[in-house]
Amino acid sequence: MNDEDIKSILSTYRPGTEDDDDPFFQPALQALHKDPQLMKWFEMEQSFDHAMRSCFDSIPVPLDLKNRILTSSPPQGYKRPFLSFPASSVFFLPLAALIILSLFLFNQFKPTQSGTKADIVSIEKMDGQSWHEAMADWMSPQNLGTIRYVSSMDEIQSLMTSHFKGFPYAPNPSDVSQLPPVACQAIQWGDCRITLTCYRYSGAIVHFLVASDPTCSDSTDPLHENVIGYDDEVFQSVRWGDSNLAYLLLTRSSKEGILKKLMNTQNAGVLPISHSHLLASLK
Amino acid sequence: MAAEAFEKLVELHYEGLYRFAFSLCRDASDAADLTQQTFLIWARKGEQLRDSSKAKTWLFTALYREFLGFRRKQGRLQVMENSEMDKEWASVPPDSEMTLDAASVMDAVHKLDETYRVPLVLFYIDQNSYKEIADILGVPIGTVMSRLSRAKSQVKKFLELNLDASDELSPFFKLNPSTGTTGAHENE
Repeated sequence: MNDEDIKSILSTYRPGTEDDDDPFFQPALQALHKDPQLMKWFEMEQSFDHAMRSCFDSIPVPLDLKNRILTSSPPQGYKRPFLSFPASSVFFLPLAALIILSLFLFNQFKPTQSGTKADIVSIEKMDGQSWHEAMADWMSPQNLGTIRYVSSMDEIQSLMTSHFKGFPYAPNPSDVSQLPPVACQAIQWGDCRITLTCYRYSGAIVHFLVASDPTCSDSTDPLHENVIGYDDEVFQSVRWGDSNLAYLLLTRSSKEGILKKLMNTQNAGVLPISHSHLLASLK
Repeated sequence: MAAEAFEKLVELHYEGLYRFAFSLCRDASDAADLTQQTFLIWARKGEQLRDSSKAKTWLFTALYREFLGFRRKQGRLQVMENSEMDKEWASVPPDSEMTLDAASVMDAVHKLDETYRVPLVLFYIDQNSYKEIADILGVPIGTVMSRLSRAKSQVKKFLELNLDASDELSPFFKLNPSTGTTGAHENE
């Protein structure tokens, strides 16, 4: 057994475990004690392993994961669920998105009249209570049943031409289009039709809503854009519109990076805005 | 399986499984889904396992297979892993209170080819032995040893390259728990 053999064997050795009694390691360990150079290598190797193990142990585990597993994995009478995504992150958020949309997009959206693109983002605080109240009105069985889980943009386009015919569809903002899609939904809200697509982004779900909004159809200049960002300490959203459609991007995350990304989406037409200004506005 | 035994199984392994999943996909949400899905599979098939001492290996194997299937479906995720998402994960960790050094290590680990990365991650997570890694991956013990040895060498190389760029010594090579002060750079 040469030095390389010994190193190869001991690279899998874990002192203080059952490996100490494993005859497989004994010859290599004995050789170690006879060779100071090998012993020095081994000490460094153990130091490296210790540090690496500490790094992996520092990966934080979600606090609610154990409960999620225990509540979703009944040990008896188990039936595989149709959806593997946690309801809280994918399904509930579209509801909230719709509430936000109903409260702020349709009723309050007024395109600017200056003839130039809006160059400022207005920040509005949300009243959390109001959308909770409105949620009950929206949860109709008809809407709840239309969510489709997808894994590609092709599937979304296929849905739009088949099941979701007549619902508005618009190219996704450039940044969002790079994300993997996870769900698509067509929603009838009074006279308004809304298409919702959901994407994964860095541990969060980003929602992109496109709405055919009759109240926005008076606008004649599609370049007029009024971009509004929201942060209610739970949700972060950006909305804008043109002459025919209204758009909303929303995610539930405290990440500054996500809001910045939402604010800078190509379709939102936001001119460069400093993130510090944005954060200052949010306070 | 009784509910109590199932809860004990979850308690023992869910953290290690989650960390393994996170090391594979680098996405907290996906890692949680994979972990959850693994226990769902256990709930459906785990009863078939006669040797309860193999439960840990069984779970890691199931998770790895789920990941391979998941990755096939979510091919586009790979694009994110190497671009914007990595930067944000490293600098803005709201869901992951990981230190910068740990993030650097993860970056180095993810530069490895998957053939070497997976045994390395398994070795450092949940105290998996070389025999367990061989079982999980379905490869001979000799293969595990050679892959693990090579993986470690490459990670060290990546970390040292990073250190050269930043002109700083890594804590890894400064700290030696067994001696207190001896470090790799000092010894060279």
